[in-house]
Amino acid sequence: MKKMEKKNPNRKRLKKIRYSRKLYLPLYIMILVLIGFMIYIKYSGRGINEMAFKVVLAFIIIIILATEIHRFGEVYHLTENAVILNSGYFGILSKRMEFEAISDMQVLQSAWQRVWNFGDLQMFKFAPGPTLKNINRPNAFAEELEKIMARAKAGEHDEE
Amino acid sequence: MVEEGVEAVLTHPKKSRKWMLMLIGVFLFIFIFVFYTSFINPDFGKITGNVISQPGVLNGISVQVNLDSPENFKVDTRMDKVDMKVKGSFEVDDKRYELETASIVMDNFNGEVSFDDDNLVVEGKVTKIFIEGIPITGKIKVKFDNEYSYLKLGNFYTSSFSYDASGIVRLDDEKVVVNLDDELFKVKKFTGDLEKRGKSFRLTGIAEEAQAGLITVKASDRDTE
Repeated sequence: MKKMEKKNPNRKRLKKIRYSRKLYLPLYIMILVLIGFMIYIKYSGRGINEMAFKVVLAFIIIIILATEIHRFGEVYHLTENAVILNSGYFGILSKRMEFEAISDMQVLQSAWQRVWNFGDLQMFKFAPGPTLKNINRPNAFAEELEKIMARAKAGEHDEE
Repeated sequence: MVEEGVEAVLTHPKKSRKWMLMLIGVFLFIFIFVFYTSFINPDFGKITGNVISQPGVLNGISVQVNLDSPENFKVDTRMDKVDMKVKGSFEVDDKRYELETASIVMDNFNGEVSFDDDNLVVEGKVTKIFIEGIPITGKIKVKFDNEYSYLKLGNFYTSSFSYDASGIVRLDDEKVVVNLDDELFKVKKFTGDLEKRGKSFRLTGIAEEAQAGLITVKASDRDTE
């Protein structure tokens, strides 16, 4: 293991990031509305139709499963020297962006994303590059990434 | 010579709203469906008709009796409908209702019903109850111990019931008609309706065996003929 680390020091993973669950808030709100409505029906002395109950239950299960599966479709790894973007479920497309190649970054947030403080972080190699989508606190992450990049670049200069 | 320039156009990536619109559509459909089945048409999707889940008699003899009332009667079973008129207070889902008189109809009752000339005791669970025409649905516990003027049990089962009765007994599609005068009336494995109004006591249904006085009619005898 030590040998491996010496051979590939840039493979040491500092952080693993997936889509923020805040992305699915509208869906979670739908589930809560349906559950709340059924509780209201129950406590107002009315019966819940068996078929309607099954439909709601199926909807909730499908939403929870679909959101969790969707999250697994894209994973971002932050190493000491690069950002790795893995996408796919069975066949994986792995894009590697070395810190040296990153010229610039931009944070994209819609109004909804600003309210809940999540969004996209797009990297540039003098032209638009890969995007880390729907990550939590993108501005804080961009700052953290800049610091790591600065440290990595400083380390390289020291070695020279 | 023309200088080549690089133009970087930063645009927001277009996000597909198609999935979200579809999900909102599905959500609205489910919400409206739940509303419809709870507030407008609670019977939606239910199979109509009666499912016989008790050991009823499929090929029994028909029984129609109009007799004087037994001193007491007790049955503990599931029945499709209970219709009654009671006096005084009663409990529905642990809530006490104080009414002078009330007309009660219950669907899918499962529990115990017993009565004598004056008093009626009903204890069990129902899926729907109408109190003076106002419906309450759900799994509802009911408890009555009241004076009553009318009782009808719809599609119930009793393994055996007998008493000394006076009145008319019609058996096997009126092939046998017996006028009882304080003589034994007996049914075995009876499925059907019971109606009691004042001193009048009616049974309509089918039984495996029925006895009126000295005459006994059995479904098994008829099958062998």
